[in-house]
Formats: sequence, structure tokens, C-alpha cells
Amino acid sequence: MEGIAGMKEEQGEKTFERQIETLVEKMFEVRQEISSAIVGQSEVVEGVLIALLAGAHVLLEGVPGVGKTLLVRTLAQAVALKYSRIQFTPDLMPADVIGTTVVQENGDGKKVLDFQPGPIFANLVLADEINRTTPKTQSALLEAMQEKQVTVGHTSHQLEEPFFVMATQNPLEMEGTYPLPEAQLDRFLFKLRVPFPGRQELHEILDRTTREPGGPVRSVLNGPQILEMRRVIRMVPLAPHVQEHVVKLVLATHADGRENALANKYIRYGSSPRGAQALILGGKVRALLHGRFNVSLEDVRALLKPALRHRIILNFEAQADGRASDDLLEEIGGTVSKN
Amino acid sequence: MNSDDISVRTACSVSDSARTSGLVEGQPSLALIPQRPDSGKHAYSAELHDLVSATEVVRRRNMANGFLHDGIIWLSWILLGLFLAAAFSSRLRVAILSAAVLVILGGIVTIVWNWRRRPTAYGAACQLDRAGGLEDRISTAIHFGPAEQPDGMVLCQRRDALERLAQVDTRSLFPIAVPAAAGRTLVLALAVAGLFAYRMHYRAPMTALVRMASQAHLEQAILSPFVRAKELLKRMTAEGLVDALKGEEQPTDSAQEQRTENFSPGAQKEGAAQDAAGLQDSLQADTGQPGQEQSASPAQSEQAAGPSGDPQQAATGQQSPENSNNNDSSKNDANQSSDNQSDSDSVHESLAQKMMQSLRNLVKDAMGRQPSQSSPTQPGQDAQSPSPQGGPPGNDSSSQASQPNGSSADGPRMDPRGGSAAAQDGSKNAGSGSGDESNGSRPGTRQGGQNQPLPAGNMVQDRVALDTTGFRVQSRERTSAGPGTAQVPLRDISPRPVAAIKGAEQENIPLRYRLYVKRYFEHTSKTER
Repeated sequence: MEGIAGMKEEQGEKTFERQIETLVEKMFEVRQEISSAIVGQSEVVEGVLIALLAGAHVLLEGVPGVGKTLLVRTLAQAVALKYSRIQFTPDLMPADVIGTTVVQENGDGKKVLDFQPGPIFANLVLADEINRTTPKTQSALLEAMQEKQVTVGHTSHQLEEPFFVMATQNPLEMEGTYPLPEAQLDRFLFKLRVPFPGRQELHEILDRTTREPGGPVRSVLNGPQILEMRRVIRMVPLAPHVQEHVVKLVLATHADGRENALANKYIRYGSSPRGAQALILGGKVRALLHGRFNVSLEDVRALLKPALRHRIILNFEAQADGRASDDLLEEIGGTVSKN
Repeated sequence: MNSDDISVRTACSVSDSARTSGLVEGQPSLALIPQRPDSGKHAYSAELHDLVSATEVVRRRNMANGFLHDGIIWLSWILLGLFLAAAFSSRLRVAILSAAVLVILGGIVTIVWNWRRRPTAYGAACQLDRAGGLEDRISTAIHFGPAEQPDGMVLCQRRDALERLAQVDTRSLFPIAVPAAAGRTLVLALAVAGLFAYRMHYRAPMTALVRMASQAHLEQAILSPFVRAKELLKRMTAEGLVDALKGEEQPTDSAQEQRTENFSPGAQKEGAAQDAAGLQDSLQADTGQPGQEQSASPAQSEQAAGPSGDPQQAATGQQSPENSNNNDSSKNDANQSSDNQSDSDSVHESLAQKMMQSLRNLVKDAMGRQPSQSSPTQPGQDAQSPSPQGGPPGNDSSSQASQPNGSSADGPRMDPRGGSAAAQDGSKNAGSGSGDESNGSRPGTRQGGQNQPLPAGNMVQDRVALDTTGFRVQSRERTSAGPGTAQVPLRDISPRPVAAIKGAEQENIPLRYRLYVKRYFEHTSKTER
């Protein structure tokens, strides 16, 4: 009996290992499909994939024309999810996002209030130029992003899993915009900066877009697989010293902490615990994407800026000295690593 | 690939097994995993023995390096102690034994200390990860190693860690390195060995150096001004002073009676108390001028301050009959003074007596047992011994007459004879060249010899060899010499009728040492008796 149990256990281990290998292969396939449409931007693509598999949302920030919307659309095609796009404008109302209740006549001729779901009811939602709408409409996303549900009247409606919001914003045209509140920003796992492409990448973009259009993007992943991946990813072991490093990093961003004098000088508010969660969850996904089965300090260092740059609020002195959040985070990371 | 490809069932089964072992929802709970970072191989599964062995190698190498580092530092301190002991102490055997004991104790302490301080298996795994670029694979595997029934992800992680560990040479990543302080310790060891080789034939070098430094006149003078005054007093009271004071205990009273006749140029009976008072003044002023020292007592006219009287004699030329008359008169004065002493019991002590007494005390203090050891008959012998240059210092009237000349201030004014002009010129010239005898400065002596006519009879210039004169004393006296007050150093080279001081009068013996030489010979003669 023990031999049979051992064989079953060994078989189960092999099956699990095969699952993980399959998972890693799927992620590579998704990445390749996105790369067929998006030139370069490897870090952005990896960040988007990490956020998708970690079950969180991403805020993309970049100048117009660098492929933010194309990236989200390509991802939606690659993962075969229900995709919707919301163009945020100043006159956009919350009901336009989450839906509204309308009076309809049923089969019996009676008029009933029927809920018409908005574009938020999708697996992959693109909130384009999210900072152009009013805070009232922006707040309509709060419940959806955190609790994966929306409440209209007295009725709460669950959103379909996987639910993934990708918002974009333009850092240049700040006039007539409404910066996202801290509570809204904290709900994004990563804030990814989409850089302007380099020379070689620009050549490739021109070659791809000015000749015959390429083939359509294949769907290599579906919703259930993504959900299964999310569960497996959470099983990636984490060594205590890595977790301690994450805690130190988050504490070092607080102005009242003793970890770093830099925070006392330039940071008004530090990262929330969601920042530490983002670092560890993102580290687990990144570890699997890099062929590892454990989170390393290198994963944490790589995800420090995307996970924390929108979670720290700089004070006036930092703005006066021209210090950016990325610079401060880099210094904080170096200081904590030395300690 | 659909969702069946990723088997939910297997994952759930793994999660179930994880729950039973303390893992919740597939997420390894660090708090529930037994924290046994220092566990032995038995705490881990057989699969992880290679990992544990690798961490053991790291731990041993760390401990060895720590032992080498601490041991070298400990050895350096011991070698330093040995060096100091060899340099200062005379008991090398004790030092070597102590060093041996300390080496053994230090070795034991270092081993125990490094054993207790050695990294845990988890810490060694972290070091191995960092050194080998293993991205925390080994440490994660070690940490989750003791977990019973690990989930599939942990097993995958273990295999991954083992695969990567096989590509790494642990021993090359953690070599046993020679500490940086080994070079310094080696140099110190060579120095200690050299010093011990030196000590096999010689004494401790630093002890001799310190002893030599402690005896240096310069340091004594710097350390205490009393040392300077004491040495001055010693030099002033070289043998003749004590004898003269003893011999003049009676004449001092007669000098009191003749106090009203003080400073008279023709005074034949100038008491030693008056000179002693001048000496006392000079001591209080602490000027240290040779002229004042020479005028301090009549005894110096013969021994220490002989040159002060010599110019007078040189000026008087061949006045030996007068000297003989002076001798007679001095004898009469001695008798008269003894009578006066018996009469002076009823007279209250004058200021000069007090000063004289204080001077005696000073001299006794300075000379230690000098008054008691000096022969009581010596003054008498000196007084009775006929001296071609004026007889004994205590009662020699010519020497008394020459005393004012010895005084720098009173010299020209109290010169009783006009024939002393040449000697005065000579002394002035010598003073201008700073070449007094006590200085021992050759230019000054040479200048005085050039300008001064040759002394008559047996009087020649006294030259004291530099090697027998303390250099520091010379410099100190040179600075204290005043312009125009130096005396022409003259020395009597006539044969002494009696070798009373038995070799102490040898010309190559400085004045301040003659007393000791004399005492030495006296002691020797007493012993022979």
C-alpha cells in the first residue's frame, strides 16, 4: 500500500511539475503574441503579464502614441478575454461605467427596473485616459477594482473573473485633468511607465505599421487557465529573508520610520501594505516567468519601482529639489540592501 | 490547452496535503514551518543531503576563516606583549611561559567563539546564494527542507535548487583565505625573534635606555629647578668649602667683630662668614655665576675657585714673603678668633651667624654625610701645611685678600693691590670670550691666554679637558656668566708637598668630582687600616 501511495504521490508531483511547466510555457506564448504586435517595451509587457497573473490592475503612463492602447488590445486578444474600452472624458458619469437601472416591461406587461451593466462588466477593461474624468466617475471604479463587484441602488453585482483593469493616462496634458486620488492609485498593482521607443524599435514599428498588416493575434490563454495560474502562483515559496527585505523596503518609505533618512526629508506619505503585497505577489509571478520556483531578492528589486512609485507621495521639498519618486526608491532600495 | 491541462485536482490534492502539514491554501506559512535553521542532516529529507552538505562546507569554511582571523589578531597582541617584555623586562622566561599559556587559551577561546558564532544552515545557504548567484534557491530549499509533506511547488523548488547547486563549486566559492593581518603579524614575529636573539647576549635595551635617560642632567634640570640649585651647591662646596667652613667656625666670630671693617681694601682679617653671607646671597639669587661661586669661600681659592685667587697672586708677583707673613698673621688670627669664640657665648647671634648656620645646613643637606666623613684634622693639616701659593685655604690671608677679586661685583673695587691690573685685564678678556674655567670653553681660555701675560712662577692657565666636563653644565654656566666678571682660569702646577687628597688634585679631574675622589681614597685608606 505504501508503495502504491508513494507511486501516486510521485505521479502527482510529476503532474504538478508538468502543470507548472505548461503554465510557464503559456506565459511565454502570451508574451510572444504580444511581442508580435508591440515592438519593444519588454518591461511593460512583463509588468502587464505579472499584474494579470497576480490578479491585480495596472496603470500605464506614457505619452500619446507609444502603444498603450494597442498593448491592452493585443493582450485581450491573446488571452481570449472579454474586452471593453471606456474612454474617460470630463462629462462621463459613473452610470456610464458601471451601468444603470432602466424601466423595462417584462413578459407580463409589468414594468420592472432592470439593471443594464456598463462596460465595466468585462474581463479586461481599458480605462483610457482615466485622469480626464471627474473624481466622481473615477470613484466608480473603486469598488469594482478592489471587491470585483459594483453596487447600483441596493443591489451588488459581481464582476466576472478574471477581472483586470488597465488604465492609461497622459503625463503631459495635465490641464483639464483630475489626478487620481491616493485610494484609487493604491488599487493598481503596478504603475508602468511606457517609455518612448528607441531607434531600432522605432525602425521596427515603422516597418510593421507601414507595410502589410501582420496576422491576427492568437489566443493562447483563457480565463480559467488564468485563474488556475493565479492559484498556482501563490504557492511559490518565499524565503524569510526575502520577506524581511520587502518589509524593510516598505517601512523605509515612511517618513516617520527610522529605516531611511531620505524618506524623512522627501516623502510625505509612504507605501501602504498593498505595496508589500504587490512586491511579493509580483515577485512570485516574475520568478515563474524567469524559470524559478522561489522568490528572490532580485525579483523584489526589479519590481520595486513599478510597485511603489505611485504609492509614495513626495513633499514640497522633493518637488523643489527636483527629486522624482523613482530616484528616491532606487536610493531607498540601495540603502536597505546594504543594511 | 484547456483548463484540464492544468490539473486542478492535483493542485488541490497538493493543497490538501499542505493543509495537513500546516500550509494554508497552498501558501507556505512561515510561522508554521518548523524553524530549525541549525538542524542536522537528520532533519532534512534524503533529497536535501547534498544541500545540507554544501551548507556545512560553507559553515566550516566560515568558521575556519573566522578562527584564522581572530587567531591572527590574538597572536599579534601576544607577539606585541612579548616584544615589550623582551624590550623592558629582564624575566624572559616568565614572559615566554605567559605567552605560551595565552596562545593556548586564545586558541581555545577563538575556537569556541567561532563555533558559537558560526552561521546557521540557513545563513550559510544565504551566503552560498549570494556567492554563487543562485538567486535564493538554496536558502529557500533549506528553509522549507524540514517541512513534512511539502507541496508540489516546494518539491519543484528543491529539484531546481539541487540542479543549480550541482553547477556550483562550493569550495572554490568559499576558500580558506589568509587574513589580511597575517603579514603584519609575520613582521611582528620576526621582530620578536630578533629581539629575543639580541636578548640572549644582552640586557633589555629599553631598560638601559630609560635608566640612561633618567640620569641625564638635562632632564634633571628640566624636571626640577631644585636639581639645578643642588648641583650648583655641590659644585660650590666641593671639598674645600666644607673643610673651610669647619675650619672657620672660630674665625667667624672674629669676623663678626670686624664687621665694621668690612669692605676695607686692606683688611687682613675678613671672616669666612662674610663670604658665606655673600654665598648665601648668591644662592638665593641663584645666579650660578662662577665668579660668585669662586668668591664664596676661601677654600675655593685653593680648589674650586682657585683661579679667583690666582690672578691676585699673579698680580702680586713673587710675594712669597708677604704670603708667609700672611700665614703668620692668619695663625694669629686663628688664635685670636678662638679666644673671641670663647668670649662670644654671651653675645647674641648676629644675622651673619644665622645665615652661616643656614648655609651649613644647606651644605650638609647637599653633601649628605660630608661633614661627618671629612677628616676633622684636615683643616688643621691644611692650615699647618705650608703652601707656596698662600697656605691653607681656610686661614690663608692672601686667599682672603683675593676673595674680593673673586667677586664679580667687588673685584675691581676691592682690589688691594694695584699690581693686579694685568690679571684683571686678563680676567676681563677671558670673560669677554666666555672662556672661564668652569665653562671649559677653549676659545675663551685661548683668548685669555693670549691677552694675559704668563703667570709668574708655577701658575699656568688651567685647562680642563672637555671630555671630563659635563657639556650640559657648561652650557648652563655659560648662560649665567655676566660680562666682564669672568676670571682667568689659572691653576697651580707646583708640586704639592703633601698628597693630602691622594689623587683628587689631578688636573684631569673636574673640581666637582674631586671631593668624591678624595672621599673614595679616604675610605680606601681607612679600610686598609
